[in-house]
Amino acid sequence: MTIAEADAKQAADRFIDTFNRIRAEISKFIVGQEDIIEQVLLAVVSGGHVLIEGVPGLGKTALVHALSQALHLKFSRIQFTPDLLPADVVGTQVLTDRDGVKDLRFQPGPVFCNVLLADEINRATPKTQSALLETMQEKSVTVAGQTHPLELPFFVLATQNPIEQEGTYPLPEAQLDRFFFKLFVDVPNHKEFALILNRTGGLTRPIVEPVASGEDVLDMEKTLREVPIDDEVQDHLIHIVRATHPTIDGATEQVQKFVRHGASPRAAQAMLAASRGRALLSGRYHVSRDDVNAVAAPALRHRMILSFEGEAEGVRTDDIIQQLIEQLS
Amino acid sequence: MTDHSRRIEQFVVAVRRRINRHRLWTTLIWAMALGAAATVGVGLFYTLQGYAVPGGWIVGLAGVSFVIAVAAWAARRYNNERASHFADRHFDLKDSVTSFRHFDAQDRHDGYYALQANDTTKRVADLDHRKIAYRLPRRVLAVALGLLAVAVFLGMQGPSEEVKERLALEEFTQEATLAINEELAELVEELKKETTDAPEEKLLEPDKLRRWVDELKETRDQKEALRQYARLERKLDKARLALNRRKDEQLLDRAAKELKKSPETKKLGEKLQQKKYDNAADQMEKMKPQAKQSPEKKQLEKRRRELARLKAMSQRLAAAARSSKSPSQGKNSSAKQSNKSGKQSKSNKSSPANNSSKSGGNFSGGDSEGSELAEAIEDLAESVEDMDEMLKKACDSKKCDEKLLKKCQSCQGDVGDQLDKLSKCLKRLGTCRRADKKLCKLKRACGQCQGKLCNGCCSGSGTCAGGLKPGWGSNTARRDQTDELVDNGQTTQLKGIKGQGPSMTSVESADSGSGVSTRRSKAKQREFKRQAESFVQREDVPEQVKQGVKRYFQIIHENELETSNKEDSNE
Repeated sequence: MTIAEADAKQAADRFIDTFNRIRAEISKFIVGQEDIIEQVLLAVVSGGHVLIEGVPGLGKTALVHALSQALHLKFSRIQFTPDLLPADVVGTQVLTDRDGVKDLRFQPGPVFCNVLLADEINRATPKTQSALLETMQEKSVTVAGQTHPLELPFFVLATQNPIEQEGTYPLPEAQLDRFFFKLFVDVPNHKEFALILNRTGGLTRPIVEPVASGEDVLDMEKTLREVPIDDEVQDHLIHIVRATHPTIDGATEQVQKFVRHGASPRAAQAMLAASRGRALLSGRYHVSRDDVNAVAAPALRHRMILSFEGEAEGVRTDDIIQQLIEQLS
Repeated sequence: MTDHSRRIEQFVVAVRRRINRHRLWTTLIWAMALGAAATVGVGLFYTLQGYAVPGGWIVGLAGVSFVIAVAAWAARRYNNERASHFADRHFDLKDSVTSFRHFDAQDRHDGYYALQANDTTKRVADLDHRKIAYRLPRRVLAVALGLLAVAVFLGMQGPSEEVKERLALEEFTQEATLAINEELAELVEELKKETTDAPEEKLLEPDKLRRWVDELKETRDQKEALRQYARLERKLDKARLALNRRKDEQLLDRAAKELKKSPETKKLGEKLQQKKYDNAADQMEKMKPQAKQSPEKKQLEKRRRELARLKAMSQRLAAAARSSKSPSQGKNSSAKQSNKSGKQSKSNKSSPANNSSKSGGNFSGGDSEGSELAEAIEDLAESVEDMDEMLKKACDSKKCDEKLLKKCQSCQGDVGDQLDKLSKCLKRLGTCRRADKKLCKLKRACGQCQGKLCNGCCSGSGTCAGGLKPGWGSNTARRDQTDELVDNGQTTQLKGIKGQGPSMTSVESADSGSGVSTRRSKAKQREFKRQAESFVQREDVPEQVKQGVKRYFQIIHENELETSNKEDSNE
């Protein structure tokens, strides 16, 4: 075994080990939702942000909280409301009097953390939502002409409620595109329900211990980017992303009819990173088509904008993606 | 090549071979199904028509199916790349083999690539390519076997009785046409050999006959065969028609009868009656006055006596020629005679242009030839008359001067010329007759050939036109079976023109009141008229009889007119 091979093997093993440890720690508190936990973690180790959608009480906030605790990272939570202002998110200049000298000093907002929970993000106005754009993409905040970089790793875990649409502001496409994954949290099954009640109904509650640091997460991101992908598999990934566009040649009839805008190259990047992570977790050192297909739905569903016909027909983007995958596989 | 790549490549090759073997079986089964279906199709096509399926078709379709199968297999067989995809899918290797092969081809071997190679090699080592099961296309195989059974059954079916007979007939026709063509060719060759005489050869044109016979084809189609022989027969008929000297022969028959009346010319008459025209011509040439004219009276009288025989012959011939002409022609000829002025007219008639027109054509018409013979006879009679007159003058005169002698000499020359001309006509007639005989022989042979073909058809099919084959009778009075008429190609389709031609029905109008209906008598009259017309138009009826019939009806008509006029006047 060569040095490079040994290093690679070590890094890959460390990745899997750390990932599994974090997952196990979160699973202490979160019952079920294995897929959601894995996908959230994949997004985190890929340096991405996650939009979690689900009805209230399904443990979205708890999941994010448990994650921050398991990662031993600085955690902030912003409850988005219509009257929330951008300054409330990113921070503002405050006038200070130090030894008689008055000075404007930047007061960092809650985004200055490692894990930001943007709870019910769709309740804030678009202006406030947009305050997160730079933060999420550039991982920095510019206030009064001064840019303040955020501490890495930084990721936003936003939640939104799909049923209470009164007084909400749907996220703009640019904002949505910045989310690595969009995940749907489903209602737990009977067994999981019972387990939830058992765990939370008593006097003691499970305590999540920090099992990984920020550096570990950054190392995992680096390891993940080294996983090789065959050109054919990459072509398959590109075909899927391009096939979401209704204007390109070879788009399916359904895409042409129900999709207004397809996914961006950022979606392809997200899929590639997540596929690599999934390959490593599967014990493989190369990305397969199955990895690509598995991460296609969470990476593409919020990036495909349905047309009026699609909205009217109640078409789900997941169905369209599934059809595309079947057609291209 | 690294150890990993060698092992993986071996696995891929093993997978490829196995898949290709499976695909070959599948392709062969499909080809068998398609080939059998095609054979069943062809078999049904032939069997429904009553034929046996030709073995060539079965072998050909089997061969073509096999070739198509092999070609299809070769076109669709797996290469290593496709085999690696198949292995990934079949053994759930998650693109390991394909990715490894591509990384290996790109020469990526370090770090994660080495880990990937190790991992893939381990996975592949545990796999056995023999676990790739062959999925037999059962339904296709069942269909193929079923079709094959049907194809074999159809292939073993023989032809129906009807088809057997038809095939036998076709074979017979082919053989018969071959034999007949050879026979006719031999016959033509014989004719050619027999024809040594140049004028006869010119008339007969054996090369043309040979060409006609060569045009005959060896055919399996009986109708076509009969048609081609009928065509040949028609051509021969036409050729014979061109040689027809019927009027001349009639004239000479009549002349023979006239000549036989006199003992001097009886011999010549007999030869003419026996149609030995060449001998008759020779004899006529012998009768040519050859001696030089001398002024002595005795000699002149001797010449005159000698000429008397020729004169008798020429007069009898002329009488026969005149009687053979119709009244109108007779008038014309008499007019001609009156218009003629001695030698000038004779020299005009014997001009080269006239001669060429009369003798040049191979198969010139019989009518012109008839008139030529009659004219030659008449001219001869005239010349002989002139010469006789001259000799008489010379004998009567006290002294035969040089001028008169020259005139006699000139008349003698004319007589000789006319005799030559007449003998030429006779010889030509003899030649025509010989040629006609030969053509007739050929035609007869042609007719016999058609008869042979028809006989073959009747004996081959078991039924012939007009009845069942010999020995097959029926107890019932009524015949249920309809017999097909054999088309021997000699049928002619006649097309009538509406409004023209005699109609068998007509509306008779009569005055109102009492009277005797004449419809029946009118119909009978029409029937008689039609019969008379058809009789008059027939070619084989002698002219005299025709004239007699015409005359009879003219008289009847005249009598009818008279009686009707009388009735009118009485009324």
